[in-house]
Amino acid sequence: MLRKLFKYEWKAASQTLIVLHAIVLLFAVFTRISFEVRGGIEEDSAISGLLLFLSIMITVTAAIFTVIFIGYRFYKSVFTDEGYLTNTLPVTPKQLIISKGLTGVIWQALDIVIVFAAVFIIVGDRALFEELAVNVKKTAYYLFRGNVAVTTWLVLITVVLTPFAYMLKMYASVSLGSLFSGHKLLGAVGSYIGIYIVEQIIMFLTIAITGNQDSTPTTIQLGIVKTEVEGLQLMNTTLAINIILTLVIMFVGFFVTKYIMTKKLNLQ
Amino acid sequence: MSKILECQGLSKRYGKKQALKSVDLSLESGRIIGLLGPNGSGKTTLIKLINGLLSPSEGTLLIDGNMPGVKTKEIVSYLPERTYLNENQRVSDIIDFFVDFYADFDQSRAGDMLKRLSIDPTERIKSLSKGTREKVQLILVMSRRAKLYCLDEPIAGVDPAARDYILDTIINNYDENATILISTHLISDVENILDEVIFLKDGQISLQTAVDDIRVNQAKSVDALFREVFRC
Amino acid sequence: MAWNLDSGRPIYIQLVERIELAVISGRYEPGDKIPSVRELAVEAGVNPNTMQKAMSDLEREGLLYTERTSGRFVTEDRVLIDKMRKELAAAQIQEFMKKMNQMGFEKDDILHLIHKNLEEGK
Repeated sequence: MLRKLFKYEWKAASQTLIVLHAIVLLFAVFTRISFEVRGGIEEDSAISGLLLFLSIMITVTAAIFTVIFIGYRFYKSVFTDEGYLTNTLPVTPKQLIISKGLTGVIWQALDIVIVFAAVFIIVGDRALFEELAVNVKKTAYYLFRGNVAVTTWLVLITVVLTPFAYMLKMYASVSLGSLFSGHKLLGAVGSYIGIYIVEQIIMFLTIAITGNQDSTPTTIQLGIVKTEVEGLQLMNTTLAINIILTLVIMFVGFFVTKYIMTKKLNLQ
Repeated sequence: MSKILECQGLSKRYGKKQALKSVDLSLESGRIIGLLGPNGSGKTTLIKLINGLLSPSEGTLLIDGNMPGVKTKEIVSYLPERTYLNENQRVSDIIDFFVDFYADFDQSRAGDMLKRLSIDPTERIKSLSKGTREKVQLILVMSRRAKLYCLDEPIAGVDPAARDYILDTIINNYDENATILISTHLISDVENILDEVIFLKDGQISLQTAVDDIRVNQAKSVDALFREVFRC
Repeated sequence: MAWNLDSGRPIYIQLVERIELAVISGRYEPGDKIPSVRELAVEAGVNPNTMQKAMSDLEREGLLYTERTSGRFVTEDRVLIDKMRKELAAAQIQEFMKKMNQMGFEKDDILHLIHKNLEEGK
């Protein structure tokens, strides 16, 4: 059942998102072409400038739109008239959340890939590729060596968890919004803002509490260069707290959504 | 004959309003049952509870011995008042969807019904008239070989010819192992196909009886009795 | 709906009457196969259970019989059918007489009126 739900959600969401991201890439290609025609990126040109501006606008919009779109799809299929079909399928709310959430997470990842691709299309050249390859290798190397390893891992974990957290925050907002009969979408937006504010407050408080860390500088050895970095300990703590907070948000978001779908569903 | 539905002390509150008050109800399989009552009497609330779209405030509700959940949704086929079809889909898409999710969906039956109504499966829902969309939804619901069919106001706001078609479809797809629960306030149109009726008044059952008992014992039609019971 | 039924009287009784009439009037000839319960139920616009009940009653009367594999048929017993026709006629006449009496007509008047009516009808 989960696979089937995922299949249909993926197909439906991709119809719009593929077109959107294709447009992003198209603009990137046009921008690059306009640069090349003019002899390189340094050349001044109104058209190139405009295309570049539009490319950036569209790319940023696509990224934001992707997340909101997935959230809106959840709202539409669970809390509007379509909900009469969705909520009477022989599946559990958990399966609905997972199948739709996974689609969202994968598309967020795809979106990031396409954003990078767009950037490369516009400004990429051999030098950039080489530099990127070197940096990737370095990061991989230092995942397992040295004092920076912990930091690198924490950053990586944060990056992986963030899309999941966004998805579940969206779903929880939409679900909470559905409790405000007559103003469901407004309620969802309000809930999202509310969640954001709470997040920030908790983050601020925990940092304030743990801010007084042992500030002995840490020694990092990269190759033959030894650096003394202050506050690495603090950064690690901050990252760790952030991860814990993200996990909490994910769980709370999931359970709030599931609870509302199970006990507080009220289709009109 | 087994009980397809059993409610005990079932209540549902929306804030201050009590839509259902301690309802005790049991339905046998193999019947066509009318759930009759004026608007706001709790008919839709009861049907939503059966389909797991609402949670009871108090009491229990069992369908074929199970609480509303995945197992019951597999054997309950629901026709809501609203259209739940996605505008951009084709008719064939939604048929495939039902085939995928419901093991009891009879695809050939659905195909026959569509053909008889000259509905082109490749058409998109948004290009169909409101009446045709409702018929498509009816076909989807009646093509399932479910144990309990819940039809919420299937003929309200529908022209007389379409009404006949809907009632014919219901009779045609009747299965002696299934129960059809029809919620409506248009009684004279449907009473000839009912075995049993339930009168729901202000969230409580005021009457549950075989239809012919009313005709024999009270020499009235159900419609006439309804008008008496629910006189304004 | 094809069959005009009175919701104030038990439906199955009306169905029995309809089919009796169909047999007596010759619409269903003796030995004819009659449609399935479901087909008749759709035609009449009634619950198949109700139609089934009517069928059972008609079988008990002897007007219909079921051949296990081939379906339901009208009886070949013309004597029975004739008897039924006469019974129905008697019932109609009784009904008619009651009404005429209610209106104040006596037996002789009634006969006179019937003759006159039939003459003019030619």
